[in-house]
Amino acid sequence: MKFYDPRDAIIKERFRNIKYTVLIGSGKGGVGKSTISAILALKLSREGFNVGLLDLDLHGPVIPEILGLENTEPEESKKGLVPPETLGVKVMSIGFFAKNEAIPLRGKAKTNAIKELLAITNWGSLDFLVVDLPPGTGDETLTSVESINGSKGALIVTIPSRISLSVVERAISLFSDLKVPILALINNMAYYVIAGERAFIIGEGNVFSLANKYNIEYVIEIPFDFKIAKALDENAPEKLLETEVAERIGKIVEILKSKVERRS
Amino acid sequence: MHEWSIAESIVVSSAKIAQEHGASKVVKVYVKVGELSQLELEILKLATNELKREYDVLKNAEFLFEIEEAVFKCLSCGFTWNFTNVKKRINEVFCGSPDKECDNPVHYVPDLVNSFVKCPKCGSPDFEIVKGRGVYIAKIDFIK
Repeated sequence: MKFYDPRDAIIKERFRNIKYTVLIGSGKGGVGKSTISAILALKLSREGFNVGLLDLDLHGPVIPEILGLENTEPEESKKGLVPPETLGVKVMSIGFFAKNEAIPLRGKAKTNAIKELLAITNWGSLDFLVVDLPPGTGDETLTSVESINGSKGALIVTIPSRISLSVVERAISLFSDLKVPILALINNMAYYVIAGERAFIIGEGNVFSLANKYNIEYVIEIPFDFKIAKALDENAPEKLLETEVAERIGKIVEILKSKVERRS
Repeated sequence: MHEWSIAESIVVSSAKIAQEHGASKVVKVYVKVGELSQLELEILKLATNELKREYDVLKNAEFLFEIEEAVFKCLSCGFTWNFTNVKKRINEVFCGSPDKECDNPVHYVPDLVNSFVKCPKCGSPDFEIVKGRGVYIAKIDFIK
């Protein structure tokens, strides 16, 4: 007998009023996906868009901490859970439920947890949903791409080391195979400016060559910015917008603007 | 109130299945509710009966709910156990006592049981939910 999973139909409903979904992926861990996801969501909100931020990193959900929401919980409504909101961004994360406990899940359970989050969250109407994916090219990425219907595109984050680029290429290849357009390749921690000179302290892997190979139109270079660490340590998410990183992410905002009409 | 959200998914899904099969009228929808989700059947019944009114094809449908017992199996030592033990642990962690019930994260995302419960035999958090996890539609009776 065929059983029906009611989550499949409701997930489609939940995404009906989301104009564009931006998947932030990498393949590699520790490259700054979550911070970039948070800053992008904050920038889009400041530009006047309705924005949601979904943290799907089941093994390291840090978005609540980045945005100072670690002591917040989603509220129930008759139409699903209402995501907590800060600085104009609606936020959902498995971290709201698991708190500081480990989430030791295997494949099928990971898929179930993600589908559950997608099914129970009522985003309302959004211009953009920014999705912070975990490292890797496994269950979380596949389930997100397959479950999220509607217009979507990916931003791939790397650091400029040869090792990172080799891992990130696998993610680019996967998104290409899944027919998700790659909007830009973000070269995070690209360099550090010392006495007016650029120092390539992580490496000088050829990010542009990788972008060319996969016909990725934009490469966004983001330098080291100690204001980021300060804003995070001070638990002051609004200060993330006062960084050079935020300024560089402005280019991504420009790319995304063409995807939706601004709210009135 | 989480039951309302689940009821909405059952109703939306039933209407979609009916449409896909060219049904003119749904008679009965058989729903299995995993014990681990800790959903209140009475609220589910109330909510589905209210929400079904939005769909002509479901207006006279009867939604029948049945609890599916939860079973867990340790992937480290092979031990299997049931929900009674798990429920006591969840109550202990979130409600302060094994016999006191309250709102908890497993109610919303059942897979989080692995974060708060361990195998009663060997203490491993690496176990699977064999059955009784969440909600699914087992059968729909309809007229074409």
